[in-house]
Amino acid sequence: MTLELQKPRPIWQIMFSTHHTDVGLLYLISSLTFLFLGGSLALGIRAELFLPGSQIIADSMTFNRIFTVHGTTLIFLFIIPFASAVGNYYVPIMVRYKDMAYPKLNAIAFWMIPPAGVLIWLGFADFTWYATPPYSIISAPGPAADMWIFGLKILGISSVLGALNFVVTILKCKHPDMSIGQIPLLAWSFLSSSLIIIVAIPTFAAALLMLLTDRLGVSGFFNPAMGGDPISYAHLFWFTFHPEVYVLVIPAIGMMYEIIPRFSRKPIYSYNSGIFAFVMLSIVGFSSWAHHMYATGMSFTEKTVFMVGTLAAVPASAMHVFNFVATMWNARIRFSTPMMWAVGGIALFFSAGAGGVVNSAMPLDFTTHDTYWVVGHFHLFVMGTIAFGSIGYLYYMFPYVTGRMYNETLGKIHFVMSFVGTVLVFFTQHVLGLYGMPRRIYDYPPIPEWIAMNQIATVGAIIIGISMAIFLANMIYSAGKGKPADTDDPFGLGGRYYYPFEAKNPSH
Amino acid sequence: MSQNNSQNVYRTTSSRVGKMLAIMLGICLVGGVIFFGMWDYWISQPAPVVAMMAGEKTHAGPAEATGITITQDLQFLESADFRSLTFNALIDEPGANPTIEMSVGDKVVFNVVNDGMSFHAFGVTKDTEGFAGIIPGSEVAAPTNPLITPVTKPNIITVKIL
Repeated sequence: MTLELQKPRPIWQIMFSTHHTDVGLLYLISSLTFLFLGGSLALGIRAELFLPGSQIIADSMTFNRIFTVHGTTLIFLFIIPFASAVGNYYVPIMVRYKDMAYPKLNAIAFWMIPPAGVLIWLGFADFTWYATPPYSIISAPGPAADMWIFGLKILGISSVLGALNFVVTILKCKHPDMSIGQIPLLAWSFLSSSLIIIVAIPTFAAALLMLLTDRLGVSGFFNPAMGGDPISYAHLFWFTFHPEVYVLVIPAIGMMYEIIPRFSRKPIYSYNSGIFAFVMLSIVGFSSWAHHMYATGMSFTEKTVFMVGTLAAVPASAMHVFNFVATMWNARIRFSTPMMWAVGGIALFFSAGAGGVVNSAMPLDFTTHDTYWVVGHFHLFVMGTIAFGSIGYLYYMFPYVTGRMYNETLGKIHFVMSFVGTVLVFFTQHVLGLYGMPRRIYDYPPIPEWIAMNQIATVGAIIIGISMAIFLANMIYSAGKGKPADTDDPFGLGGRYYYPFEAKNPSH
Repeated sequence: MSQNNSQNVYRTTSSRVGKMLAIMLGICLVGGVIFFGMWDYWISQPAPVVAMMAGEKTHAGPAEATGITITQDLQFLESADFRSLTFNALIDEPGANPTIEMSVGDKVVFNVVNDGMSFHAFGVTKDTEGFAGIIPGSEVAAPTNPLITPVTKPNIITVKIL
């Protein structure tokens, strides 16, 4: 199998192509670029917090701008486009179709990302990735804030267009011989996450529009001085962005479903439970948004409903973990780099989920709310689970995309350093939260425990930073000069892998 | 995906990787030059709603300076139950919340000390009650970077509105 181009072509031809592998390549390169840009901002944040007082960032506003763009970039310009890259490469092949259902729409969805990225990065808004009202309405300076809002609007439209394309490709363009219950779990993950996007994103699109008109002074939806209510923005935001967490994590789990059976050299333990868990996560994702808002004066009944709704995600998540472990049980596992990332991602997924149970249990949430615990929990999901799954899959698809092998030793060093760094940064941030350190602060009092924990977290971030530099060097060098890959079996797993029904379809 | 074996596998070349990197680095460099070259511009304009809430007229000219400077020390205090927040004395004590007489064009210097137990930020508001309508430029600290007890932070404003 190879996902490389049919023949060498000038780069501009790839840029203006509508073929799914070309669009996938564009998604891949842009998402990795934003990974490194957003990651460098994270290093700046951690360096600033190494000690109390101002270290390398001049003032609190610059600090706020940096962490706003850091979060926005890594969520909207790295994780989501990376998933789209994988989906573009693999979904049409998995459903045995020649391309995405709407190739031009697919290219348009990609080309909305660069201008959105430019708006976000040129403005560098300062109101957090949540665009906290009323601050975002009455205090956040323009044009940065307005540029951020427009950037997010564009990204939302891009996501919806991409999601529509995936849904139609999977449901309407799959081979007629293939039932929906036979498509690979990675394709199922894209179907689930795309349906979530279509339902969830329009709500946030409306909220952004309301935020913009509030800033212009023509409405006061979220402006208390004009009779509005910032809490209503919180409802609209979290109605989109709690399900969005599943939009981020479900494709990463789908990628693990590709890697783990392949490197365990066994079929997945339970294909049907994987589908069931994806569908269940898609549904319960909408029953839990207000657990982010326990501290806003909700009634006991409301909090109980959302607590139960949130905990409903636990069995579905546990089914995935059980499925992975059962697949690996007694298997002839080859711990190549992609498998190491996937297994590390499962371990951190379990840890992040355990922390999530604390957040969703309302008596415990009041202890951790708005502290560094939340930062640690969220990052353990996005870095520990989603990025680990994604990076593992990048190593997995690298030989198929470039025709060359990456350096395996450097890949393993990258994993070990990233795993150690992730544990140091984000587990420590959980503890910092229990010590009471609020999130999103530029400076902090010289409390010895806070200083020690922040220093451990910063050292962890530096380790991750070094590992990412190794990763970048490995990718660049290997793409050009790596050993030619055996694209039928690049990882030496024995035998040639076929997707279900693949042998019947010579069109790819 | 199952290609015919007769089809060649084309591999990425060093020059192709180099071109792609050059494009990406070029975009980042141009973007960086634009961003840093216009560093102050991106955060130079308050949202239109700010001026509306502060009652600022669109064509209001700058106040003519009188040359008079009024200095006011403000010690911020909280009651034990945290229900009343005052300056210079608790709410029922003499000297609480001093009145400052000033005219358009006067320079007013506030020396603010946060003597409360918690973090706080201050600003001159158009309204007599509530936190809305903070006049731009009158802020002493900010909710995102509050005044930590007991640090003194001076702030100077020029009075434009009586």
